[in-house]
Amino acid sequence: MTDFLNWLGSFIGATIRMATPLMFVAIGSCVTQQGGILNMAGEAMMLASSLFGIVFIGVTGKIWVGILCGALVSVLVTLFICFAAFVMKVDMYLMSISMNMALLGGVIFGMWLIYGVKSHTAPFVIFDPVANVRIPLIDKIPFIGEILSGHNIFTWIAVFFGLFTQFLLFKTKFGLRVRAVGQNPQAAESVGINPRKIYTLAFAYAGLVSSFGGMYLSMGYQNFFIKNITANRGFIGLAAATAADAKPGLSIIMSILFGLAYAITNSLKVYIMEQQLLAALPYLLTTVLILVLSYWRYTKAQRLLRENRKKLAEMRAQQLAEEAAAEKA
Amino acid sequence: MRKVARVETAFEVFRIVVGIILAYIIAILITISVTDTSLQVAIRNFMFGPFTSKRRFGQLMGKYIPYLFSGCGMCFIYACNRFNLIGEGIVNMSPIFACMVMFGTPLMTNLPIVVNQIIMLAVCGITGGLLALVPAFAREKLGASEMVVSIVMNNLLLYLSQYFLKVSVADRTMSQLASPIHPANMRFTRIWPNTNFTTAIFYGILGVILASIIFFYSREGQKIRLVGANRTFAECCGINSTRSLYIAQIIGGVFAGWAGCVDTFGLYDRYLYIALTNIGMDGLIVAVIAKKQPIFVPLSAFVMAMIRTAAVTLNTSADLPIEFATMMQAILVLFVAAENFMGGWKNKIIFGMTEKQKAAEKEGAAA
Repeated sequence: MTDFLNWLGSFIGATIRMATPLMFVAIGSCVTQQGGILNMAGEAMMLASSLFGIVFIGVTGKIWVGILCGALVSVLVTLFICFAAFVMKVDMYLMSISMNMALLGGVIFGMWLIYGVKSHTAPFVIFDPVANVRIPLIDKIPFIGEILSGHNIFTWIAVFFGLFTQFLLFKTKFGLRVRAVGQNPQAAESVGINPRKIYTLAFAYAGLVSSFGGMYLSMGYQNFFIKNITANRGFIGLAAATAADAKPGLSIIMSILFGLAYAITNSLKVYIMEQQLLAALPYLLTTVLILVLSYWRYTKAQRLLRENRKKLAEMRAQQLAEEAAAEKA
Repeated sequence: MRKVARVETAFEVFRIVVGIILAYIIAILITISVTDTSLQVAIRNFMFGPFTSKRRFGQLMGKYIPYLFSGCGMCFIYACNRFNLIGEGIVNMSPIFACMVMFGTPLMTNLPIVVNQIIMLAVCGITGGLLALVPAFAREKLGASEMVVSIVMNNLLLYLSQYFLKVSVADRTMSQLASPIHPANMRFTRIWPNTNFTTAIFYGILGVILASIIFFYSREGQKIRLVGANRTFAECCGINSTRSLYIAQIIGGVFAGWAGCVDTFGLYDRYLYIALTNIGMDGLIVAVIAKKQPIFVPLSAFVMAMIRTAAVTLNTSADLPIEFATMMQAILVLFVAAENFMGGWKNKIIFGMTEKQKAAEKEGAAA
């Protein structure tokens, strides 16, 4: 039993580690989704920050400078997409997709320009990855300690961002405006809210939060940047946000659920020898999860629609009966 | 009104040309600033590199033919405002089923080459169409983002295709995962020996003609375009918009399957893919440059193939990373798809024309 609990504890710990980058993208995507636009550029945001964070650590030797600059570069990329979409009038999704593609190659080009290599930055920037946090006392509790303690600082930053974004969206003026624009941009504009400004701010915030996802991969999970470091996590994070109905708190839980796909794959390495099948497994589980969650939401929406229709029909019938009774009287 | 439409069309074309030229200028400037290449050599490599030898032109054609298909397919998907990018995975997956028919059954062994080519295209097309249905179903029925589903599925299809190959018809004598050599009657033969210029070009031309006919002259094509332009209006006209969206995405999948077919059985002697090919993603850019119209795909596919080939040429001659091409594509999209790029100028001309017309009408009335 103790063995099983230990294994389960470390499995859940691994799941949270895998889910951390997804959490950041999912939280960022929640804000834009509340504003009515999906954040398709999560990959671009993560890629930009993961490389440039490392580059600035290399230049200054300080991790916090790397984190600040990485976040700044990611926000700049986001602002460029907003400029293309709102000023130059390129389709937002199209620009996001092409930015993802551009940066997938662009970061390798950047790495080549700066370090003269195209594979990884490991020999050029040497630093200790961002530390894991051991919580005293809780650390000693067998099962709970495994789950709660020993996570990277980035994981706790994700939790902070989740709570803060929840507060930002549902308790502040800015959040109300984002949601108003998301519900109906024309109506929001009629009361003096500039939707473009709100979209840009929402995207810049998404860029800021998502950048931490990229930096976790290159600074927390490992301490170097490698080609295709994000491996489509930007999209999986977006899927988590969509599945969570753009609610930041719920999106963290959904990210953990999606992270589970990666953790399951890792623990099945011992049992499944087919390398290709194993590589396909996280994507298969993610696809199935997206489809199942979408189906669940679809049936829920249909049920709600049916119930409301029924209620409406009942109300109408009651109204007609009352009218008929009044006429008779 | 006709004059205004003419000005708008002229500006569309002008904007694309200026966009391409600007992208090239930026690319050349970056090339000469980060490498030792001189301006002359950079221009020669970028603009005329693909035409300097038969082999390089063949390389250009090798890229061009799949783009013809994937570009046409994406025109249908993008025309109805869907970003179903499953084409990327289809390119990897669909040839596997064709390989299974080729090597796993005796069906194609003694058939003439043209019949075999048609069978291969049919198998790849059907596979592509069926696979494209998954993200389409996720979007139209379940309300999930088709783009997210398709991108996650692309990776799934990449690894699944390798797994299927491994357990079915893989050549066990090879050190890497590959299919047996394509027999001479089961491939697209090379028009010029030792180049990538294959007979698939004829199928490519037929594909563009077919796509253009469906897009412009068939009832389904009209519906797809109308649904893309204004779905509510289309529904008010009695069009089943969901059906049209499904059909558009299936057509996109079929064309992506064909792109995979001509690439695998034209360029290579075996099925050798170990990574995603980018043919599907580039198809989207081709469709954007072609303004979602299959008739312009031959031109836009040529531009894309030029960029890709030039990137390869620069990689070998100036040691510039091949990834450079993806950045150039983004610049292209920015200029070509931007409605406001030179929009002020266009509006000025249209205003001027309208003012002139008004003045002339006033004069006429006064007279």
